[in-house]
Amino acid sequence: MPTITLSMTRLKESGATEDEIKSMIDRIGMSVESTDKESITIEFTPNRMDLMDTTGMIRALKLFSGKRRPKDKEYTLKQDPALRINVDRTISKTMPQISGIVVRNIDLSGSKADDLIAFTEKLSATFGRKRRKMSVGLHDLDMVKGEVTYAAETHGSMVPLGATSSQDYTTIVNTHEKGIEFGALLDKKRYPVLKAGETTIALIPILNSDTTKVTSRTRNLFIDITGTYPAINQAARMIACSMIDAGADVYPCIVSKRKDQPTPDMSVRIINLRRSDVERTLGIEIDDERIMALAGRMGYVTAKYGRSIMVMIPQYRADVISSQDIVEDIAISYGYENIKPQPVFGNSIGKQEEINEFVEKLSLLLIGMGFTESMGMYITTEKDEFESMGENFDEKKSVVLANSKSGSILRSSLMPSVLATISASAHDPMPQNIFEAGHVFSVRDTKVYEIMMACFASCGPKADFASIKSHLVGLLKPLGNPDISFKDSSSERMIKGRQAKVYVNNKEIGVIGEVNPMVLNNFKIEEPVSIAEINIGSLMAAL
Amino acid sequence: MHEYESAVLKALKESQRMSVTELEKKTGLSRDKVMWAVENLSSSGAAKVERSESISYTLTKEAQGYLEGEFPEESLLKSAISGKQTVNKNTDKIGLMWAKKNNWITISEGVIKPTADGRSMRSYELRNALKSISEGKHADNVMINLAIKRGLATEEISHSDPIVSLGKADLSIEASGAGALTREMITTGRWKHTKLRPYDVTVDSGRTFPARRHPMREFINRIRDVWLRMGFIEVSGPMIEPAFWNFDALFVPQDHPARDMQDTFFLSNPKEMDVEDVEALNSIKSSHEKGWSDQFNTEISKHALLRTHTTSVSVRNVRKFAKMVTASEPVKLFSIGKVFRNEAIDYKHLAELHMVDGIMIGDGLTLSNLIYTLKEFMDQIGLPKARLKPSYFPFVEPGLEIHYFNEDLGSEVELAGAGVMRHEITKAMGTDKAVLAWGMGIERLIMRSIKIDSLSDLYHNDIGWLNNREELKV
Repeated sequence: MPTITLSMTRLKESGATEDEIKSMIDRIGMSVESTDKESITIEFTPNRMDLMDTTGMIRALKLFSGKRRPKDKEYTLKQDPALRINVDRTISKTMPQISGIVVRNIDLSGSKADDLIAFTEKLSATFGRKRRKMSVGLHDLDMVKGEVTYAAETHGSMVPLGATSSQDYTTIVNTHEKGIEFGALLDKKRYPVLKAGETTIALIPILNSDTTKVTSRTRNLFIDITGTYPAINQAARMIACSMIDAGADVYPCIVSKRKDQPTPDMSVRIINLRRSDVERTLGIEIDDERIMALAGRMGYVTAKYGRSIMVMIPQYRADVISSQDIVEDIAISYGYENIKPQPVFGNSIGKQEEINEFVEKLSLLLIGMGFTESMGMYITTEKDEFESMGENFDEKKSVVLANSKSGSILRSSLMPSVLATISASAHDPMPQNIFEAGHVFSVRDTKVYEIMMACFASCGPKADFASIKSHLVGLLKPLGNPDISFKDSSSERMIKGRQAKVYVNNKEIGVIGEVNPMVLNNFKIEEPVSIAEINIGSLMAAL
Repeated sequence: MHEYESAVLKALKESQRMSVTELEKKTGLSRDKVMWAVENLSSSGAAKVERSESISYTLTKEAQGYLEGEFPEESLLKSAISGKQTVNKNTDKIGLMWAKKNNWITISEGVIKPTADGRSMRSYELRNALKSISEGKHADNVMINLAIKRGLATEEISHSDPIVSLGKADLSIEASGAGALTREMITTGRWKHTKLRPYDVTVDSGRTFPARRHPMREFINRIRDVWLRMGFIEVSGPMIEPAFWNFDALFVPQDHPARDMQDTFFLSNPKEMDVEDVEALNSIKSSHEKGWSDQFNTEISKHALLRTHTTSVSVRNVRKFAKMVTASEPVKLFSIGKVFRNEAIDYKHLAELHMVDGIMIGDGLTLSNLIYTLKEFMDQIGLPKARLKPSYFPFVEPGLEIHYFNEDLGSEVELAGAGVMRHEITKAMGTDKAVLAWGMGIERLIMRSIKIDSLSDLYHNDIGWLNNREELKV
């Protein structure tokens, strides 16, 4: 899970002590990874994006500790739009959409400017899915001179953030750190850019210009939020709330395409909650007043509405989908530790799955005959699975991984795994008896088969066909005294004339034989090995 | 006294002190017989045996290669010191593991950074030890053991010819007393007139190893037993799934980072799998479009992958049991199986792991029932102090995690995720009943029960290790 580091000094603005802060963050549903004097690192869960923001976290801590109450209409923008973004006709439908806000009288002194930049960057990376869905650009409003236009240009230039001279778009995309990281999001024939007058102030969604750079001395901001709807609106709301909480005046922007559209949409969503929703989900008894008080500690403004409760979803929350999400917040506020555990009604009797029960039975018999269990990996390589067995790899018959860091295919037989165990035991005394039970995989006509198998093998001077056959008969006979028969088989894995297909009640269930010395050489095994592999499903069906 | 013993004793009385080889020549008996007689005489105190053994070490080819060149961990450290290195598929895993164990490097968010120890590393202890071995000099025991464990050196124990001398007990050569009890003695009754010589019961007799289950299986069965005892029915499901059952049906947004190639194994054969349950597919599609306000692409649902959690089995069973649940009795199911994560393998991470998932479906099931059930389970597996805390997973709301304090790590470890399944899922699966769900990784738990350095040790699977491993703790 992603982590975020926030300033401890600033979180203490919530009025809580360090210990209280840590405890509250844990109770709200995140894990504190580490703390030092100055900062706290949190593993944050991706639902509460608003808490990646220092101001947002301070707000949540104040609400949770009861030092602040949520108020109706507290996140309202100033009436008059402060800026107009003209969307040029060159912006096509496949390019990012835009939304904007203007912030006046913001205090960005101390670490606050860096905190804001860190928050918007994280928001673009996580909520914005690495800017594919949404990206935020911060500008010093006082440096935005002239009419703001959002247009697509085939070429042009800009002074990239942190640079001193102007570079053309292609150079920025190909050489700048951010250009290399996010350039793949552009078609590179037409660059969506934000212009103030004739000056390019942002290459969307790559980076901003140095001209409108935000510092701790910046007092007024223009923030562009680009990407797809509704993500850009949700992000704009989150940022607007944060700015309002920081004491600034926030103004809408007009996005002017064919008609004028004020952004962002700050309307409040309302979800109706019934007491029974809470009681039936959590298993507690609770009255409406308590529910409303608990909801308040999570930032919800509530009002009674007939027999239900109207819950107003604060605009900084992008994760509330239904009443179930509100019930969770009420549970958090109530405290999971305060929910009384209650046994489940009804008397049920546990039952093993039939095939697993059968495998347990076989395993016990094999252990009784002195076979020790080994367990191999399911992911293997063409080399270990086929080459070592003297066979050719057929990619149409194997389950093949498209993107693997550790292997390439799923195993299709247990024999290589059992032989690998024997190979690894070269220094241990003989004879050795090993078994493994597990799945193998194959593909036939694009259909996938997952098959449970058992394989057992003996290694040592006396490990011949007769010995493995006697063990196989020993294993099968207790399973209801079935009829067992053998027919010659011809696999390269085993010695010609010393291998057989095994039939139980006239149905084929597996193979046995002496392992081909060529295979033994490949595995660096120095003693003879006799081996049996049976298909558990076929065996169960045959019995 | 047996004739062999008499012969050996007679020879000893003549020359007091002889090697076993000399005794062979003197008595004309085979070495086996002499050794048998000497063992018996020594256990009755009539003879003394002095054994000496010498140990020699030989370097493997791999070790010689390292000595001439570099150890993988040395190379890794060098490159980490020389510049920014990230963990990727080209990173040498052995080097990474040992550099980490040696405390030369730290890895944070995939970037390898040298530690102070790493930067000041001038002479590598293991290298010095291997060098000493190759020169036939004395080397540090700890390093020798490490080298053997890594397959860099082999140990050979050679026994010198034991020297036998007369013991304190003065047995007369003709003294009677039989060694082994024979069939003949038992059936004829001769045992009544035979003195069965007492043995020295303290003599080492070696060790017989029982055939056993694999420790992982033993542990899985232990977890299985707990759920069975708690009245749960065992189910299973496919490991190879279309993305639908692993992600979409669990309300994981189609652009969620967990669905990236870096985290999930997608398949190139087969590339796609049909979602046969069209009704479920359409319901989930509309759940997604409503809940995530995003286009839902049914082509993405078809992508074949290796399941990343057994929660896919849970949601398949919510679908299967949707119409079968009665008001009187909740359905309680659990499933244990392999799950796959596309991770670089190191001592903490394997690409394949085991998980156990469970669900309860029924009218009136609540979070309080879930908490009761999970606490009961934690009690059963010996973690009564485990703690529940709120958390987030896309498929449950409210969601929670179980944490326990790991004494070895000195910190809390997340053990399981759980919650009340989202209605967006349960409705799409065709039920209006409450569904409580949870899942936990088994490898996290087994590390508490068996002493291993690395998770991959569980799959080394040589008989020596399987035989000598400890019993699982609670």
